[in-house]
Amino acid sequence: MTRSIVLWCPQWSVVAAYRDDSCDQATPEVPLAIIHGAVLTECSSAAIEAGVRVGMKRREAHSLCPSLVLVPRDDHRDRQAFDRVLRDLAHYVPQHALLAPGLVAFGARGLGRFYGSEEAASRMLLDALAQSEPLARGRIGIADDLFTAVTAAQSTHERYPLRNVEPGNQELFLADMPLEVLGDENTVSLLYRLGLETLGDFVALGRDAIRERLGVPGERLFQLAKGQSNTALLVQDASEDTRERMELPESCTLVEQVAFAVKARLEEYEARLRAAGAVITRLRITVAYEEGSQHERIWSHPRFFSASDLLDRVRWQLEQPHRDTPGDGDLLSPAVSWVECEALNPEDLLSHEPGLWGAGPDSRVHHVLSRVQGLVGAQGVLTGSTRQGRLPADTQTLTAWGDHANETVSGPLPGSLPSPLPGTIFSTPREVSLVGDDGTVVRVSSRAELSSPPAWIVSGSRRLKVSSWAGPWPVWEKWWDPTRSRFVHRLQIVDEHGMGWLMCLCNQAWSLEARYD
Amino acid sequence: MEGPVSFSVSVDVDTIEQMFEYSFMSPTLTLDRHEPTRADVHELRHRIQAMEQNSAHPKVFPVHSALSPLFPQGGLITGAVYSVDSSASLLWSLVAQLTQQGTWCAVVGMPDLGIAAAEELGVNVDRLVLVPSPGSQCMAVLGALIDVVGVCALGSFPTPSQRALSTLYGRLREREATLLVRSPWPRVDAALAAEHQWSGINAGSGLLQEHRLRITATPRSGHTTRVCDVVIDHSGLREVSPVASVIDIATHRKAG
Repeated sequence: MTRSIVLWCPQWSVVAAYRDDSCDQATPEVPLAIIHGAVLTECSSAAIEAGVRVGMKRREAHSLCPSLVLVPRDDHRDRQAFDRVLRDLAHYVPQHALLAPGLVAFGARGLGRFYGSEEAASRMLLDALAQSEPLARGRIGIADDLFTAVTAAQSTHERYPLRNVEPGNQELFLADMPLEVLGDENTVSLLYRLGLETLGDFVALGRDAIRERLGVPGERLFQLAKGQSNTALLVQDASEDTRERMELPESCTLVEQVAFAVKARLEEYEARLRAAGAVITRLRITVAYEEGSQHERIWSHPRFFSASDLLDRVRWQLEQPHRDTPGDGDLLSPAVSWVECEALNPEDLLSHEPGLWGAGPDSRVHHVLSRVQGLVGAQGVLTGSTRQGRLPADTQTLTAWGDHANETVSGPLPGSLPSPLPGTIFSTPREVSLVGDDGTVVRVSSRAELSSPPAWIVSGSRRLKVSSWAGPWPVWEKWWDPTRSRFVHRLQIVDEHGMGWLMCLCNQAWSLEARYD
Repeated sequence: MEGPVSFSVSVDVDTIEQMFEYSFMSPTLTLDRHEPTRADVHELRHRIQAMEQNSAHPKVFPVHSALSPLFPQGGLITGAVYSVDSSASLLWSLVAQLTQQGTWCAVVGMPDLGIAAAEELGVNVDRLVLVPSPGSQCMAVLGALIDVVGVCALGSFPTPSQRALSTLYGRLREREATLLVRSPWPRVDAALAAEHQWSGINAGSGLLQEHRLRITATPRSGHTTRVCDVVIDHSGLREVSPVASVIDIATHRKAG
C-alpha cells in the first residue's frame, strides 16, 4: 500500500469539450452534456441548474432544457486535454499515475515531505491545476490506499475540495460510504436486495461469508471496502505530446512540394521528442487529402527514426498509391491538406544510444538498405522468415525491410509439406495439365484416387514425361470460412530429367506450384 | 683521471637532457639500433602486402566442405563473377556457410525462391536480403548492395554495358564481394551447373527423399573442369562418399 494523493477533476469530459476547437458551440455559459449512445454521461453546471441529470435520455434532457448542447463522448479528446494539464503539473510533480482522464494519483510521501505537509502539497496541486486549466475545479483525496483516496476525492464538496483520511483510518472512513463506490453494478444491486446499504454493512458480513457466497471477486471487493487494496501506484514521467499535425500552407500536388513543406517541421518534431529523452521506433503517418479522404499507415524502424527517415516515410506513403499507376509522375491527384505524425509507444533514448565505438556494422547495412528502399520502394526490399505450411507459398513470410514480422505460431502443423522443401516456389503458379497415357486429363476422385496414372505434364505445346509420382495428398484448410477455405490435392512428381515438382489440383485445374531444384 | 671525469659529466648532462623529454620520447633514444635483417624485411613486406589487398591474393569465402573441390582456391573468390544455373539448392549451398558466419547476402531479381528450403540447407535467413524486382534502377541497387553484402546473386538482370561492367568489377574487388549470376553475362570466372536426380517416390507411393546433384564447374579457359557429387536429404547437404569425388574430365579425355 502506498499512501497516495488523488487529484480528481469532476466533469472532465465537459471541460475537454470546451477546450476542443471542433465543438465551437461549447462555451462555458451554454448548458452542455456529454452523450454516449442514447444516455447522458456528464453534464455541465449550467445544465445541472436547468434540471438535466446524468443518465437521462436525449429527448428527456432536451424537453427540460431546449438550449442544451450535446457532444458525443470522445475518450481520445479527454485524454489529450488531460495530457496537457499533466505536462503543466510536471513542473511541480515529476511523476504521476494516470488512472483515467481527469483522475490522477501521486505518491504522498515525497510530495508531503517536499512541500512541508500533505495539505500544502494538495493546495499546490489545486493551484497548479487552476493555473493550467481555469475551467476545471480540482478535488483531492489523501489516504493510505488508492481506492480510499479516490473515494475520498469523490466524496468532497466544491467548497471543501480536500479530504485527508488519516493513516490507519481508512476502514472507519469507508464504513459510511454507499455501496455504489465499489463500482461493481451486479454485486451492488445484489447487496442492496440483501438489505445492505453501506460498505460498513458489507464488511460486517465477514471475509469467510463473502468468499463462500461471492467467490474471489467478492473477496476483492471486501478488501477494497476494508481499505486494504494493495493496488500498486504505477508512476510514470510526464509524457510528451507524441502527435504532430502539419498543415500545408497551400494545396500541394507534388510529392516534393509536400516533402519540402514538412521537412523543417519533422526535424523540429524529432528534436522535440529527443530532447524529452524519447526516440520513435513505430510511427503512424496520416495523410489527409483535400477531398476529405485520409490515408493512414504504420511504419516501423529496426533501430529508430531519424529526421530524414521520417521525411522518407512521408514521401513513400505519398508515393505508394501512385506506384501502381505510372504515367502521371509524382502528381498527387487530390491535393494534400495536412500530414500528421504520431509516435506510437516512443522508447527511451538511453536504450538506443550508440555505443562508444559506433553502432557496429549493422547500422551500415541498414543505411544502405534504406537507400535501396528509396530506389525500389519500401516493399521492394524484403527479408524472409519461415514457418510451417501445407502449401509451398505458406512456408515463408516476406516482410519489408524495417517492418516487424508478425509473430507466427510455431509448432508442428499436421499435413505440412514434408522435408526436403522445394527450392523454387513460383510466385504465380504455372497452369499446366497432367495427362495419362491415353491423353485424358488426370482427375482425382472424392476418395483421393487418381483416375489414371499420370504420364505427361503438358504446358501449351511443350510436354514433360513423368517418370515417377507420389500422392495425392488432400488439403482442406479453413473449411469453416467460405471466403478463405480451399481444397487442394498435392502431388509430387519426378520428370524424365530427374527433376522434382510439386503439383496441385485446385478447382479441377492442375498447376505447378514449386520445383525441387 | 681526466678521462673518467669528463665521461661522468657527459652522462649527467645526458640524464638532465632526457629528464625533460617526457612528452615526445623519440624511439631512437630508447630502442637499440641494429641493421634490419632479411627476416625483418620479409616480415615487413608481408605486412604491407596484407594491407594492400592486391588482387593476386584475393580473399576466399568458404563454402560447404562438400562443394569446396569445385573451386581451385577451395571457395568463392572475392571480386569474381560466377554464373550459376537455375538450381536453388546450388545457390543456397554456396552461400550457406557465409551467412552462418554473419556475412550478409543479397538476392536480386529472383522472385520465386523458397526461403524455407534455404534454411534447411543451412542458410541463416536473418542475413539474407531479397530485392525481387530491382526495376529500372538495377545498376544503382546493385552498386549500393555490393557495399555491404559479401555475395550478391542476380536473377533476371539486364546485361550491363562494357563500361558499367568494368566499374562493377573494380567495385567488386575493392569491396571484396562476389557476384553469382543466373542471366547471360559477358565474362565469368567459372560457370556452375547442376544435374538433378530425385529418388524416394514410385508410382503413387513414397515421398521425395534424396536429391543427388552433380555439380560441374567450368572455368573460363585453360583450366580443368571440376565435377562433384553431393546429396541433399532431410538432414541437409553432404558428400556422396568420404572419398573425394573430383574427376578431372580433361585428363580423362586425353587418356581415353
